[in-house]
Amino acid sequence: MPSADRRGLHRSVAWLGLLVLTALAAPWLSPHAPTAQLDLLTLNSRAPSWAHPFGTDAYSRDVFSRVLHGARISLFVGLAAAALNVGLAGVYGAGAALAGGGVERAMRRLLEVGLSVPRVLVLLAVTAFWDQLSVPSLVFLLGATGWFPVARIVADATAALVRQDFVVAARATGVPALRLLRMHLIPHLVPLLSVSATFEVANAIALETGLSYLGLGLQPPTASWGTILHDGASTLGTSWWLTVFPGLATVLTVLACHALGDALRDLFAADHVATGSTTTLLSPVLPVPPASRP
Amino acid sequence: MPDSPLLDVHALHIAFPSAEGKVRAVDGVSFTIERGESVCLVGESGCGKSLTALSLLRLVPSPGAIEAGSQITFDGHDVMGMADEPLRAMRGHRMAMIFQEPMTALNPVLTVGDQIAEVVRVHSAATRKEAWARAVAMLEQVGIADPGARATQYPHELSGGMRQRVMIAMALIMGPTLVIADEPTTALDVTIQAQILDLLRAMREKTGMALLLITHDLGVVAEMASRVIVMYAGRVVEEAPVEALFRAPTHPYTEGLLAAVPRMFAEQERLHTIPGSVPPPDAWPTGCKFRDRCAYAFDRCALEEPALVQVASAHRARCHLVQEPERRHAQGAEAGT
Repeated sequence: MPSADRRGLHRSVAWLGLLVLTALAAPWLSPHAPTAQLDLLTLNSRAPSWAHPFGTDAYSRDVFSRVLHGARISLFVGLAAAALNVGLAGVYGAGAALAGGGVERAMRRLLEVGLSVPRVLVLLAVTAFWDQLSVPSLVFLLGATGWFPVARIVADATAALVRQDFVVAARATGVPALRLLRMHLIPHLVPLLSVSATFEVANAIALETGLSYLGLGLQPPTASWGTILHDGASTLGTSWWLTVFPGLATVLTVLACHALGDALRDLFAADHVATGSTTTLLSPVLPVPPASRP
Repeated sequence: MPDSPLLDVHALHIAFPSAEGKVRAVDGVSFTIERGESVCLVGESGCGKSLTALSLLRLVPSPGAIEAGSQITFDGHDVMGMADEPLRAMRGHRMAMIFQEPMTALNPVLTVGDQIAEVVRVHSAATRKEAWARAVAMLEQVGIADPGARATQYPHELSGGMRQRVMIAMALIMGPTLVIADEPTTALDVTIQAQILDLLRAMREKTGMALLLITHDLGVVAEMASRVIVMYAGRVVEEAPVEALFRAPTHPYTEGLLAAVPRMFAEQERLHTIPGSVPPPDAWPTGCKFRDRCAYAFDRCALEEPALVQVASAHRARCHLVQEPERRHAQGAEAGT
C-alpha cells in the first residue's frame, strides 16, 4: 500500500493518542482545578496569556484546565457510548440474521421503526425533561439511540456470511453453534464492527458537545467541551477564546475519528485483496480500493 | 441390519418459495448407496444434484426446505427426524462432505491445521495437542509434503490442489462411512484433477468408505464410479452400473451427455451438443421434462411423464422409449437422412 494512504492513519492515531494521554494525565497536566474560581474580581474573562494559555472565563476559571478535563469527559462518553452502541448492534443484528425466518423479519421491522425516528429529536426530547443528566445516563442515552444503522449492517453482513461456503462447510463438519459463532462468524465481523465503532465515537462526541452546548446535556460546573462552549456562547464577541479552543478540540477529535475509520476500512479492504478473504460481503462498509499499480 | 443399504433416499423433494407458490428444485429423487460403494451423481448445472447432496446432511440453504414425506435413512438412522445434537454429531463424523471450491470452503482467517483439528475437537474428547497431531498426520496421509509446516499456513498460502487435499483431510479425518464430494475437481486444473481423483480412490480403498461423487464430467464417472445416477431437472432420469450406462445409454439425455464427450480419433468436425439448457424449476414443461430438448420426443411425451422403469437388472430409465423402442430407431433413421 502506498505510504500516502497511511498518512491519514498516522495523523489520526497521533492526535487521538495525544488526546488519550492528555485526558489520562489531565489532573497532573492542568495548572488549576477545572472548577476553581481563581479570582473573580481580577482574573475574569482574561485573554490567553502565558499564565493562562487559553484565557479565563467569566468566573475566572482557567480555560486550559477546563479543556483538558473536558477531554476526559468527551473521550469517555465517546468510547463508552460507541462500545454500548456496537455491542447492542452486534448482538441484535447477528441475532436477527441467525434466527432467520419470521423472527428475523420481525426484528428487522422493529429496526426500521428505530431507524425512522431521528436520533437528535429523541435525544432533545428526553434530555429536555431531565434536570441533572449524569455522565452514565448520557452514555446510556447516546448508546441506546444510535445502534440501529449499525445493527442493520451487521444483520446484512451476518446473513451474507452464513451463506458463505466456509460457514456451510464448517456446519457440514459438525461444528456446534456457539463455536461456529466464535470461530467462523465473529472474526469476520470484527472489521465491520471496529470501523463502525470509530465512526460512532465521533458521533457520540459531537452529540455530547452539541447537547451540552444547548444546555441539555451535562450541567455546569462540569467541564466538558460542550459546557465550555455553552458558557462562551453569550460572550462570543468579546471572549472568543471560550469558544475557539473547545470548538477546535471537538472538530479535530471528530475529524481524527473519521480519518481513523476510513484508514481502518482501507486497511481491512487491502487485507482482503491480499488474502482473498471473504470479507467482500462487507462491501457496503469496506469498499475495495482501486487496484494499486506496481 | 447388514443387508440394508448404507444410505437410502426415498421420494426426496426440495422446494423453494417463489412469487407463484412453491418451486420444486428436487422432485421425488430416490436412490440407495451400499456400504463401500462408489456412486456418481451426474447432471448439468441446475439439475438439483448439489441440493440433493446438501440435503443428505440437512444443509439445504434457506429459504429452501426439504418437504415433508421425504425420507433419508443413513446407517439405519432416520436423518429427517434427527434432533439437532445427533445431527451435528453425524455431520463430519459418519457422513462428511468435500466441497467444490476449496478456496471459499476454507475459513480464510484460520490456519488449515486449526481447521482440520477443529473437526477432531468437536467430535472427540481429544485435547488441543492431540487434535493438532492427528491433523498433521492426516495432512501427510493426503499427500502433503512437510505437513507440520503446512498445517500452520493459511488457505491463501496454499495452491488449489493443496487446498483440496486439506478439504479431503477435513472430510476423512474422523473416518466417515460415507463421503459426499460435490464436484471436487471442477475448480482445479487437469493434472491436479487426476491427482485428486487418485487420492480419493486410494483413500476409498484404504478406508472402505462409500463415496457419492457429484460431477458433470463423464470422464470422472468412468474412472471413479461403479454405479451412475443421472439427474435432469430435479429428477432421476437414469440409473445404471457404469459399464451398462456407457455401453447402452437408454435415456436420450444420457445419450446426449455421452455424445457430447470429445473422443480422440473420432471422425467428427464439431462436438455434439444437447440443444438448449436445463429450464429453471418454474419453467419445467408438462409431461417429460426433457421433451423440449429431445430428438425423439413424440405426442405421448407431452401428455404423461414417464415413470422410472426397469431396462435391465439394476438399470432403470425414465423414458417412454423403453416401452416403445421402435420409435428410437424410426426417429434416429429420420434424423440420419
